[in-house]
Amino acid sequence: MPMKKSVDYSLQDFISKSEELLDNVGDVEELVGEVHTEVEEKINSEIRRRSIESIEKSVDLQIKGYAEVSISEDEMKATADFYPPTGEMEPIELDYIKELLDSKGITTGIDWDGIKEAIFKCNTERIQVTDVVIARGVKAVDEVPEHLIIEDHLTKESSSPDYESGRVDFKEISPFVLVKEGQVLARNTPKEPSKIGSTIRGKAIAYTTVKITPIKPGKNTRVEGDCIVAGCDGRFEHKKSSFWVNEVLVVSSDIDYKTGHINFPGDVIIKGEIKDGFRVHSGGTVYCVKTMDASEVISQKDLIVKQGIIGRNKGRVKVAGRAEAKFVENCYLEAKSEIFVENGILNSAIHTLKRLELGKKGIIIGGKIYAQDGVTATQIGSALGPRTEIYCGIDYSVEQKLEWIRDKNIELALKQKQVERKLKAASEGKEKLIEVQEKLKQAIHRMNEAAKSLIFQLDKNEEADVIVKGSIFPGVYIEICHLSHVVSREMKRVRFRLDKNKGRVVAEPLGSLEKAV
Amino acid sequence: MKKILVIDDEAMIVDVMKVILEDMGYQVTGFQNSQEGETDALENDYDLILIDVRMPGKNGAEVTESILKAKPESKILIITAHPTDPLAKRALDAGAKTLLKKPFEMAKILDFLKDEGPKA
Repeated sequence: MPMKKSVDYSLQDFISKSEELLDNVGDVEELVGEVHTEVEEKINSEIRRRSIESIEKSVDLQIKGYAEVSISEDEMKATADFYPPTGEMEPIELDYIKELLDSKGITTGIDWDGIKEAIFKCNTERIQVTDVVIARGVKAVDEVPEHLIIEDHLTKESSSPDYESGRVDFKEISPFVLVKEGQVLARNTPKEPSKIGSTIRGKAIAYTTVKITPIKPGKNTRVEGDCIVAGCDGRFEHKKSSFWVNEVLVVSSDIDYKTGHINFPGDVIIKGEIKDGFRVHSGGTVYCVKTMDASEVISQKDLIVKQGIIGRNKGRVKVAGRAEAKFVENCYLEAKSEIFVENGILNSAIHTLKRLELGKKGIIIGGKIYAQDGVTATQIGSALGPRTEIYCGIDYSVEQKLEWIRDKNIELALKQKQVERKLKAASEGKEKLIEVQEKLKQAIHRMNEAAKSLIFQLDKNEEADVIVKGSIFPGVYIEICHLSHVVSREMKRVRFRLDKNKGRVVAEPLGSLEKAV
Repeated sequence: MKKILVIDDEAMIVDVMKVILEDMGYQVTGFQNSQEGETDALENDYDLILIDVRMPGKNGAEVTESILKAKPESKILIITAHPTDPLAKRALDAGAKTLLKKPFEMAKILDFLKDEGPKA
């Protein structure tokens, strides 16, 4: 193949040719300068004409309906803005949207109805419809195992008092949740199955299993169907992992404005004091570690007060069982069973259907003692003390009923006397008065019938006695089975009993009795 | 019919006892004057005699002593406001069976009227 003739591109030659070219250009510029203004004006004019045409064309811009789609970062939601067509351009078609969603990869949770509605609105009303949620991802449903749920009201704090009424009785507010036997405590919630979720782009979302601390039913509960119910009356208590009903209410503090009155179906243990004016009603035994101060205590079983009962002449204590205290002062105490007082009873009204026993140094000064089976004390009365009365051998509860009948009868009898006087003085209206008088007579008669039947129920213990291990002072009144005896001189170590043959109360030295026994 | 004598200077007590005890089927005689009552008690026999301890003129203890001296088998109950009243004690020492707290104690009266009542 012949070689191409090479051009001489030597440096000298290049320079000389360039200089020649520059000379020629200079000539041309001079020529151009003459025609420049004319050409430039023509060009500018053309540009202006085209610009104006373009602006005029843009006013009548024809655009098809379209939509813009955005996807949330977590791909759980897609929203769209729908723009209407202009002029006679094509409206938004559903297929166009389908393509649009395809192009964005949106496949799951598409709200076609919402999209159609938005398209219709946009096309017909020719308005932009924005921020339309067109697809939502499906959240995963976590698995919830079968578990018990405690009834709401049992775990809520006790309701606040009604301060606005201005009549808040703080004594009535109790922090304890009390339940009745058979009351629903918790309900079983069955297992909730899991479900896998999905993003709007079809990506699977995994579920988890909810961790629930299982709560178990404890003592005094039982299963009834899908529920756990209370097995007995008592206090509902619960922790994170269990719940139960306590038959024993333990109050670690005093019974005061913090606790309010106590009304509990089971035993009550009070580690503090029962403050003045507070009530404790128990279906079981009441055990008070400290003192009871002018309170009202009703116990369906026993009462044990490790310190004393200070009644302040208004305290009332009623016990269906046995009562025990270190001392009793100015109080009304009634127990169906025995009463034991360690140190002393001062100015109190004591009632028992059994025996009243006092401790080694136990004294009774003032007040009235009704003890059906008798009394044992170290000292009764005092040299200068208040009157002390001891009644034994009789069921005080029947006597109380008879006293009530007596009071009613006195009332009726006095009214009858009044009517009698009016009847004597009346000149007219006698019939009415006679009618009233007859009614009063009948009422008295009914009362008397009740009294007569009661007197046969008057259970007596003719063996009842009063044992004094120390001294008994003059003035002490002793009555055994309705027979009276007044102590006329100080006596030591003596026993008072009913002498059935003599028909009176007699005193005998305690020593001889002890020897005989 | 069992007979009851009530001696009490308070008319109200005598009236009320009469109304109530008569309705119960007892024959009740009442005196507000202690001496009149004492005379009646000595002249008549009663199953139960109720005497107020504090009365003008002869007091209840004196009346009791007088009746029991003549009729030691009489069952006398003393009406008193205070069981530790010295006069009440004197009446008991004289042989009265028991004390009735004012206005009166229904249980004791009925108990003493029962056939199997307290040994007296």
